[in-house]
Amino acid sequence: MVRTTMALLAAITIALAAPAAFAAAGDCNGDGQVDAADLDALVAANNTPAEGTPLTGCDYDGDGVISLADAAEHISQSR
Amino acid sequence: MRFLIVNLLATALLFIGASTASAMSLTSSSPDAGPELAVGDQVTITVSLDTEGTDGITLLSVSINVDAEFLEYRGDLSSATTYLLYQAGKAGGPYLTAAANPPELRFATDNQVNMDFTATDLLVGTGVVEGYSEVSPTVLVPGGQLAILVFDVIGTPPNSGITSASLSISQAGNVIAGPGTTGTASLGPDLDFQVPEPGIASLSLAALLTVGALRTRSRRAE
Repeated sequence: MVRTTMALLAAITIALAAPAAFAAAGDCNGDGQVDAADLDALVAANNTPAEGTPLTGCDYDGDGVISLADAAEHISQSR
Repeated sequence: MRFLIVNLLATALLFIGASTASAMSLTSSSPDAGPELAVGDQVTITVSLDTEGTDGITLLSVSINVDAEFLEYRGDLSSATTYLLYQAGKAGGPYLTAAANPPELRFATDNQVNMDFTATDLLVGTGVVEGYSEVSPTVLVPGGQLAILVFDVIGTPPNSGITSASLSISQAGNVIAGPGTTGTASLGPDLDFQVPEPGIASLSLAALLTVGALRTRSRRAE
């Protein structure tokens, strides 16, 4: 019982602390949906660091910075 | 035989047409690329786009790259054209707008200035190959000026005393995208800025003054 509770608490803590890690692929704004708003969020975040934000999953070239190149890849993957 | 020749010609024309239909070109120019400069001077670089018949541009990110040891970017003095390829009405369609004005240094760099533009419809892209822009509000142009970038000369390059600014579409974050594009563009040549060593410049000046003085003296002697 204690172990189960501890495990549950740990899972909740992790989920609350790292929401970006649980964002679906393409969910750039972390709202739980993959839609046009994600592309808008990507473009709005142009030239900003991706780390520690829901945009991490949309840093397609993995260079740590959100750019128009990521936006282009997002559009390409959305087709 | 005639049928074969006609077919070969048609095929060749098709390839030629296809290879140039989506070409774009980017160029940079500066009145300061030529004259000798000194530390403390400023250089101004104008970057321009020619769609060369390309429409359907959704995203455009172009960079100017310099050696930050000699040229320091002055974002406070620089500017991007706020809109390009605009034409009102049904024929106009989406157009390009500057994503950042003034253009910004690529995050965490001091040597790459990105000029970023997005179409007002990110799926369809620009609707025309020629349009109006902030710089050309009454004359249709095939793109036109993208940005004016200003740099301070802060150092003297060794050896030849030349430092360059180069256009790129392949640096970090750069992209050309859209259903009408090939993702590529031809780029104009680098701009070379001459910043000679102060000693060399002084010697040149001294030589000129000496020659001038000698000529004056010889004229008086006559």
